Amino acid sequence: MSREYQILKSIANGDETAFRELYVQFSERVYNTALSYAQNVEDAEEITQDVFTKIFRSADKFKGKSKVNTWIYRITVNTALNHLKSKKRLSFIQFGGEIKQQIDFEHPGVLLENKEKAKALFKVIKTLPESQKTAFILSFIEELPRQEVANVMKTSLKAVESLLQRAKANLRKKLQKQYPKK
Amino acid sequence: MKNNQEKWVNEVVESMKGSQRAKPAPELLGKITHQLFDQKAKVLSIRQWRIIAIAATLILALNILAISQLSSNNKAVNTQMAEKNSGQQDIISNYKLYE
Repeated sequence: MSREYQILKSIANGDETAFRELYVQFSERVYNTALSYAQNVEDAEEITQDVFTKIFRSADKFKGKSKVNTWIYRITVNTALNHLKSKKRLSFIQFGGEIKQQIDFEHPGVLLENKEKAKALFKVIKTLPESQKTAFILSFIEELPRQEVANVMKTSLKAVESLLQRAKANLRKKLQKQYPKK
Repeated sequence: MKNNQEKWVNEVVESMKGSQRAKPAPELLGKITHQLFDQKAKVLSIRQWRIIAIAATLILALNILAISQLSSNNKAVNTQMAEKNSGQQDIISNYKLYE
């Protein structure tokens, strides 16, 4: 039984110390993934809070069929996607379908020389379909191995590779369209 | 020119390579543990409050609609009853032979 699995079992029994240990181990991965989807700090924190609440409430349901890391990434991806959907619905109700102007997102961890390029990247990532977006974020931002991405997405390695090819092609097309003078 | 653009696009796609992970605010853990372990009552986020407000408004609107439809139905029934009663009155008055 892995240490992480043991921690989850303790969390299922309401152990706060175990919960803190799990948070220290996974919060950066969860938050960073959430930030890639939400592209703003407040929403990423809200998603992170939701993810850890879900982990706490469903720790007893984890049967060890997948790695803890995979399970937590899966919860994060689903929570982030649901958050984006509900935000879209809410903004439609509030603004009646009008698109609100957003400031370009600047990832805090990006290397200084890549800042402008990363800004352009996040701008187009937003426009990708859900599954392509997830495959791209997990592979190129979280830098997970392809097989792990497939496990998180509950799909095959081949399917992930095809999603990544389509995601890259879409990103290239959109970047060329949005930045024709580069 | 085209090669330059292709090069730039490839660099953009790969621009997150070697970047550091963003760290959540240090107070986030306290917020989460407070919510899970300390607090008895559930704290609702602004988003949840908004959804509740929208749902409450919808329920209120549906209720108003239902009440207005019910009252218009009642009016129709009352008119029918009144017509029926006046018909019965006619019959009753017709049997008053010795008046």
